[in-house]
Amino acid sequence: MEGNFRNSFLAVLMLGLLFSSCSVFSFLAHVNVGLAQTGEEAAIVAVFSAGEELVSAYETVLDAEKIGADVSPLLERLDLAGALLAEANMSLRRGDFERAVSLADSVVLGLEGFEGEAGDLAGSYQADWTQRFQLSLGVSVIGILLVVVLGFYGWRIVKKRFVDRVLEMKPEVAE
Amino acid sequence: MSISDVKLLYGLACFVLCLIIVSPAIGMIVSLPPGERFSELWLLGENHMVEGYPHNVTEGETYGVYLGVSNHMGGVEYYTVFAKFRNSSEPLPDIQNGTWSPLAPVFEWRFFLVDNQTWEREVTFSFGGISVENNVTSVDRLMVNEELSFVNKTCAFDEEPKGFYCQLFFELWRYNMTVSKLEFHDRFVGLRLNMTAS
Repeated sequence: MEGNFRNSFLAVLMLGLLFSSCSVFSFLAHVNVGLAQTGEEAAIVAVFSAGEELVSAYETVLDAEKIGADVSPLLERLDLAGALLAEANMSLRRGDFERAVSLADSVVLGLEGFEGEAGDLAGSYQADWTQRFQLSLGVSVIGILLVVVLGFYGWRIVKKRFVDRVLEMKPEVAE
Repeated sequence: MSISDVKLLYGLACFVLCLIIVSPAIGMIVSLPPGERFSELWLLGENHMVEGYPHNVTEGETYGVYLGVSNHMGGVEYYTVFAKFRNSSEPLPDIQNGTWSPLAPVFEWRFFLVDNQTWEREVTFSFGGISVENNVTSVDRLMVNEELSFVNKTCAFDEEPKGFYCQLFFELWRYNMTVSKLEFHDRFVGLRLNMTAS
């Protein structure tokens, strides 16, 4: 009877241990899957944000270009960011989420201060343009005034010469 | 010629002179109407010519072409080029309807060009896992510029011209600020490749 009780106890203990092991493994599996999903989600979010950051920088360039600034110096940084973003996308497709996040972070880091730089370029161009336009307008106004004033004096000379030439003419009577 | 004719000519000459003097200031404000806007996409062979394109490809060999884009859109453009790989049963982009191929890209490039600027890159590619069975060729792997993709394509036999053909093609996309997204720019170029087992 004691033997039977011991056997039953051992059987229950074994079953209990088996059940506990299964629960632990199941829990760990779920945690791992959850972490993987979080890793993928984090990578997708990071790459998307980097893409948005790049578009925002592109918009800044377009604004500067709209007022006529030469935006070529800004494109080097944009191109570098674009290349990194392309690599991040490829890493994401490949399932290399850690690298995708790292590259996405590099995109954002590389574009830090970009809006300020573009703003400075646009501002500098605007100031330079205003100065050149004012100079050009000033020269044009002076030039027109000179043409008008000299034109009046010139007309008096031309008119006198025309009248003198007409007066020198000898009329002939046609037969 | 009467005095009034002379007066008119003289006035006209002074007016033209005034226009010439004020033209630099006007030129700073008035801009000429833009010409036709378009983008170019091209593929050149290994010697930078419209020839020498890879055709018969085998496993392990590396092939090269030159991919180029030129911007004539009147301003800075944000371009993306997607490289894709298909067999004859899978869809190509449809330029008539402006739709892109739904296949996943095997490589991509993202870059920015000012007006009239050109971008060109060498594209190297190689294949792995090419096998022929029951008149069908299978391709497991494609490497484009050191980026490995498991494509797992089957290339059926084509009678005209004879061979097991798949296609590596490149789609040009452009960021449209009006709708704030990347759009297929109705351009693609491709290489029809005869997959041969070594």
